[in-house]
Amino acid sequence: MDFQLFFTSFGNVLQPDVLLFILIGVTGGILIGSLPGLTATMGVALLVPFTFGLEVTRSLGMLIGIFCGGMYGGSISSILIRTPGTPAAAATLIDGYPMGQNGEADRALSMALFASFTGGIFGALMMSFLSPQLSKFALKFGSPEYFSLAIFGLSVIISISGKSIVKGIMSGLFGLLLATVGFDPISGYPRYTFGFVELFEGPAFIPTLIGLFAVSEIFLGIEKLVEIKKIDFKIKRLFPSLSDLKASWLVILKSSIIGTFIGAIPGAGGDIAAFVSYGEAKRSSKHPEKFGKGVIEGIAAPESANNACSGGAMIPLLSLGVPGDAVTAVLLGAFIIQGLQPGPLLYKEHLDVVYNIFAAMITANILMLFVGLLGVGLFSRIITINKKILLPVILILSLVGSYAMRNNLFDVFLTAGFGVIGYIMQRYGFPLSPILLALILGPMAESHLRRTLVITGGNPIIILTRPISIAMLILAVLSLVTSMINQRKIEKRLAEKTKNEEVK
Amino acid sequence: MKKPNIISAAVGIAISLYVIFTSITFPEDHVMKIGPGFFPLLLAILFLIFSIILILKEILSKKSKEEFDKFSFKDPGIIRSLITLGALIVYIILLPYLGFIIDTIILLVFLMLLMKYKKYLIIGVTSVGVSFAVFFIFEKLLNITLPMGFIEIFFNY
Repeated sequence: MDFQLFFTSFGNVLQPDVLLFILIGVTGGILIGSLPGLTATMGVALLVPFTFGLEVTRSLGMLIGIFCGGMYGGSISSILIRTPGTPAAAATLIDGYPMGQNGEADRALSMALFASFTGGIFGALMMSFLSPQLSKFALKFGSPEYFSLAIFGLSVIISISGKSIVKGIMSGLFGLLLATVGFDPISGYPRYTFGFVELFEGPAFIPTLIGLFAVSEIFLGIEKLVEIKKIDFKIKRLFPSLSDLKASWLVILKSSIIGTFIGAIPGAGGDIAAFVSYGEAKRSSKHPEKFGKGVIEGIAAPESANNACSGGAMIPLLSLGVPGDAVTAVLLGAFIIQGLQPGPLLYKEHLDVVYNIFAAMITANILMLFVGLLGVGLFSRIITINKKILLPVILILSLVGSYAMRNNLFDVFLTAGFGVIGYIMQRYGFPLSPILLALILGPMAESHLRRTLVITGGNPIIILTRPISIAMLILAVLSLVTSMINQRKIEKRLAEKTKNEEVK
Repeated sequence: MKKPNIISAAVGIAISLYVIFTSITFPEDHVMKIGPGFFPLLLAILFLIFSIILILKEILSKKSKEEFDKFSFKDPGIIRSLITLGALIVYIILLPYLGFIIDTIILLVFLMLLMKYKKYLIIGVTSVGVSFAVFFIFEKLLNITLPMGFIEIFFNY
């Protein structure tokens, strides 16, 4: 780590023109991230072609800005309208939305921003200092390890199941079954496509997400028509309170580490990082029964993880030329447009570019903090708009969002269909988050399991013999066991509470 | 309040059986041992097991721990949701014909009236405003083409 070069690169980045581009990126990223249906990946992808004529630092600075801003922006809509603006914010809604409904939207938003900022800086620093080492480790991941990682991720489903583990598992299994729709990844056999071309690649992810979370919530809202009590809530804070910070600093630290780590694994992105750290925060908390009702750690964990993941995902991109997640895969294209080849050679021949990227990422996070602080007041106000106006408008945005991905109406019908499914599931106590996790991890688990079998000629034992793989599986088992123990604890505490209330 | 859980479990069983019976018809893969049918079959069997567990839990437990809102077709809230679903389907079907702007304005007005919102001026302003705003943001700023419908005749560019 060349400190002199590090400081020089800040000199390069903190120029008015570069700062402007990063600022545009961050602001655009927050906006795009907060609109359900537009993901950070999409935002970056849409703007990459425009960077063709731009100088390297400006173009990468802007794109990194979108990346960071997008990871924070998703939390805004998660908290305010229970719809993740990007998949990485899907875990944030579990505690964020209840907080918003309790009139604590400013508390939730300020923590989301702070956690995103802290996680982002952490990830960026890890990226700057540890790129080569971390990527060596991440490269050891082969198919058996990916399969075990997917299993570990799926075991997190139990911890986010809410009241009923059985229903949580059923939701997860339902999601896994949904994930099998489409062309089989290895043999290409069409499964459950019913002849629909649009289903060949499986149920389109974003429309399904929007349908399950947004549209179902709209149906529920129209059915109940409960107005948010006009608690005279002013924006009391831009920054999390001291007590909130005290409660969540450890969670933020742990989640940042988890997020950076998962980001460094090629193919594992912010969504997985957010859920895993949420599960871990709940598992290790002294009051797990409060998770899901609006507890501050429930926002701190996923938001710091998904922003830290951005830094982590840059690690394999820069040092190996292998993207760490979907956004970095698009960034790879941006590099190539600039005539640069990410990988070991980049460090040798364009070390200044690498260091400029380090500085840009740190700067982007700082700018994100500023822009976010300015916006907290504005965003919290949105939730007080009369539901009768808000719900239809959100419905339209959701529909446009699902249409925007592939420009076809089938996806919009898909959204409506999943809206109904989500509505019914929610009414009858089935959690929706496991479906999301299953849609991401199911295909990963299946294709890597089958690839492992291809490599070993049909012998799966390798999954248990390779160290990283067995470590992940042990973690999965541990996570399942501790979550079940926690569930019992939670149920006991709730039973005691009701007993105490009856006595009174 | 036991019935909803039993019905959910029954649906689960139905889905699992469907998947089980269709996945065994998928071609086998002798080279790679696991064919396209393996995963769905495995998942469906697990799904079946857990659906049965759910039913057993319901039958064997004395107190029902969960409270569900009644689903009655007479409840005005339910009627509203059903009408909304219908309106949504009609909206999507008409989208290529009416174009985004007109169709959206109609849907927004309809839904706000459905929820008995009385401030008609705000209904008008919001629906027109939002439709145009969304249209321009997505079309102009983000280069995403939304259905134009028959207004295309007037906007040939």
